[in-house]
Amino acid sequence: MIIPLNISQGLIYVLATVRIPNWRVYGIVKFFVDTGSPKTFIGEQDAIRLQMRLSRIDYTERARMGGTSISIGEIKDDVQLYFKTDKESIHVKPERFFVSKGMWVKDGMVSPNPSILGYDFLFENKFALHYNPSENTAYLERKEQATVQPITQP
Amino acid sequence: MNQELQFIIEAQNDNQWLQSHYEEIQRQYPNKFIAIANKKIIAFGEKMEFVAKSVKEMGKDPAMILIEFIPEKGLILIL
Repeated sequence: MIIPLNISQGLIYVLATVRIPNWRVYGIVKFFVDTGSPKTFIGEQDAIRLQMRLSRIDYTERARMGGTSISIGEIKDDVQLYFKTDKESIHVKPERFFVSKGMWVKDGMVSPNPSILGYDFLFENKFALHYNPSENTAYLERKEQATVQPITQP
Repeated sequence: MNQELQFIIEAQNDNQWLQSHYEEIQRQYPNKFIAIANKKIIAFGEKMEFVAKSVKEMGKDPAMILIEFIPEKGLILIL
């Protein structure tokens, strides 16, 4: 099973829908695939667009990103992500999902934090990242598990 | 086709349109958030809250609309 990825300016990203049933949150999010990030999170501006109640988040952790530091807090409720695949779509529940707070600053210029699909998501869900910059192709691949038929005694 | 897939395909179409017009949009809307629906810019502003509110006032759900921050030329994102 393959999830096709998009590439822009050397960055790899995917569009997914995010559903948090207990928060009544549902919407489209662009996630950058970042194997250098140990955590998967939604950026603050995307969280605002999805009308997430950010006052419910306890920002207990700090992370460094793009030369600056940001705060992240975990959403303790059930989070569901949907992706378009080569077949149809896939539904994945990340084990842990965070919200980031703060702006990304570089050389005095400010930009909102992107939403990130991190190493944790790839590892836990057994996705391999394939990226070929020279051919401008990228995708996530998960090998289908072979079905093992139980051996029945005659 | 399920609903999730339909939303993703619509957003992908708008995203493709954005990518193919990126330089022109970057010239017109540097450091702004822009909302795109059906391959058109339907709202823009300096703050996500403002753009999301404008989209809502048009009767659309900002959660299902592609709203992108357009950095000024020369600002690249390094993860």
